[in-house]
Amino acid sequence: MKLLVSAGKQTIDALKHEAVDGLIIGFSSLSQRTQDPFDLNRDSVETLKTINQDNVKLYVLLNGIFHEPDLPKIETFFKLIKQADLPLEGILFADLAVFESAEMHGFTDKLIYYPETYVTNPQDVSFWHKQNIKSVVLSREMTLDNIKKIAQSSPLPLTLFAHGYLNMFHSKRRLVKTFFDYTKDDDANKYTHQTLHIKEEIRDAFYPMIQDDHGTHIFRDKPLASFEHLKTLKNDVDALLIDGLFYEPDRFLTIVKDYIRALKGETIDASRYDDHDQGFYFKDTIYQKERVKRGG
Amino acid sequence: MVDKPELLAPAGDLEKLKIALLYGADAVFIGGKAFSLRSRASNFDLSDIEEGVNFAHKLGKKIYVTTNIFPHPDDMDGLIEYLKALEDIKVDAIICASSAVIDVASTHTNLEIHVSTQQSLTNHKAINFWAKRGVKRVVLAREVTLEELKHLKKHAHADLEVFIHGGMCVSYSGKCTLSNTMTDRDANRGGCAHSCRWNYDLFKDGEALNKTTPFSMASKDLQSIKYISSLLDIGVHSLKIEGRMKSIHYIATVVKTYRALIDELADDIDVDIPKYLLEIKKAENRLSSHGFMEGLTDVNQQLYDLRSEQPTQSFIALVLEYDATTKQALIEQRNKFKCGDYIEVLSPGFDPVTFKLETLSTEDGETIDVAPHPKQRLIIQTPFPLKPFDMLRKPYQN
Repeated sequence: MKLLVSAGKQTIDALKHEAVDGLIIGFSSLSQRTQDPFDLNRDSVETLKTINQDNVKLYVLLNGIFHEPDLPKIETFFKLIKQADLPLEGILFADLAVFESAEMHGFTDKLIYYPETYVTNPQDVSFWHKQNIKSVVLSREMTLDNIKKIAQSSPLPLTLFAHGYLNMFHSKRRLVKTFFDYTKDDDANKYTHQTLHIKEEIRDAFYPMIQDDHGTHIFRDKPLASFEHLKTLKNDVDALLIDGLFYEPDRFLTIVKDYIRALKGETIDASRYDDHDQGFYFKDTIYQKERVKRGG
Repeated sequence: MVDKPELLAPAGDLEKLKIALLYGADAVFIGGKAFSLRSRASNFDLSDIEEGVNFAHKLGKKIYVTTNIFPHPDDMDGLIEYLKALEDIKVDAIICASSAVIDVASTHTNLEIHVSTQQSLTNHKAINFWAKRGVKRVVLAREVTLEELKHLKKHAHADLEVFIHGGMCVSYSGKCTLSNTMTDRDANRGGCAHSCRWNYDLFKDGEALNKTTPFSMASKDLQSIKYISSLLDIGVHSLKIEGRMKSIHYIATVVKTYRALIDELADDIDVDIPKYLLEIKKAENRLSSHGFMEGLTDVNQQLYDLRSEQPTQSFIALVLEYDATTKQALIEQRNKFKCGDYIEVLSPGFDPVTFKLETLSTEDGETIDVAPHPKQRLIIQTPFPLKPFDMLRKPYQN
């Protein structure tokens, strides 16, 4: 089972020495909810090329939602990597515009579909297999049972978000700014790009929230950890995404090393993850379907 | 004269479906009891869908059925059977969000497929991905601005459907699991608890940033009266009203207003926008604004310090029958009213008219002064003819 680990400008040098199967890097205008993205320019691409020459496999996170004016940036990305001849293992995408551009530029086989909530059953995987892409990332609210069912006859290798803060919500609206505009704060922009928390009236959880250039993002209160389930997941999943958003670099490096050890069957200090949870692995959400019959 | 777009209305049951079509919608979208979001609004079994389709087709109008959940593995049971049944009934299209449902529908049926706003399609390349795979129409994300829409329309290869009225998700649609996390109710399978409309406190490093005002993410509803002209000029194929859980009065008022506006604009008649704004207000149960029509939203599109919904009790009765000889109407009470009240009549194709209620009796002929009981059938005398499905309401007070 592959370990794909998110890396930013600050962490890439440390992480490239670890025995992971790939580093996922972001570009500020194309990636969302990623720590320390690179700028989309020739210098960054050349830097990544240098890193790649150390035998590091590179994945790129292009998970933005793109409006019409944003489309040229996707073209710029493909032109830059083609010009630099940057070898990429994978391109994680959410917006179908990336698929269209990738297809035009000959990168379909690198694509990993990562819409966060849309890949929820085996037929989704079959559909994407027909599109000749590399993999899909299963929806973040899949139970272990669902993962197994999807994996049973999957024609595509499957990828799973296995560690980190699961995103719950992305709005294009600048909800922090508009709130402080309403309360007539002196500077409604002062909390942009800062980690805040929201707490609902009757619930105890504090949910991280960030407003940035892409809008407002809210995350689950506790990060997901998958150490307990690696033996099970090994049978079903080809690659695990380990995400570093909100972690200090040193802590994230420890997490990555723990996954490397755990995958080798070594014991890790589980108490380090007492403040994590198991996401939706055992939490099936409510849906009641009625079988619809003619005449009734 | 400009081509008219389709006016597409919601309906949560057969009565609302008929009201929507009679009050001027060209098409109605409904949900079955399975595979549809807004599960609490879905009262259509297959025989209801068939009755609705027959009703619509006799009027030369259309019915679309939503199959817009993102199904988990066990939820796919019965999907092929259901889609084939819809095809037999001759629904005009299905509205899908999941690639699985789209794939199954296109493999096993010849149903026309529309892609739901749950896919959050915001640019022409994403639209063309689906167009190449046989999709006829897409429902655009509500985050698309008018400026973006102008460019997008020139390059998109599928018909475009745009929301013009109703509730708005604050998150990009289809991407939100607030409800899943906070209540175990799956937003992408019809269980959304509208967690985005609750009150919160906002913190930084453990310190509360909001003093007396709860932090809120709630959005005002979308209302696009001033933008219909631009949408006609752009050439959007369909204008969509949200609200399968809304009342018949809401549906009738909103549909009738946009119908009249579209017809006047298409005929190049000078339009009295304030008149339409006033008319649409009569159905409003939540403050409204223009959403993303003018670009990125600001404080004026958000709701703060207010109860999200402010139910109106102005709708008082539905007309069931009218006797031209006795000039009496049989009506069904929907909110309390009394003899002596001034009553406004809402009727498809006509401006509202007002009269004073002079007589009121039960269906058995007993004279009464007050009508307090919901769904009670009553007889009233009217100074002018009424028709079945006309609605009676209290005159609007600003």
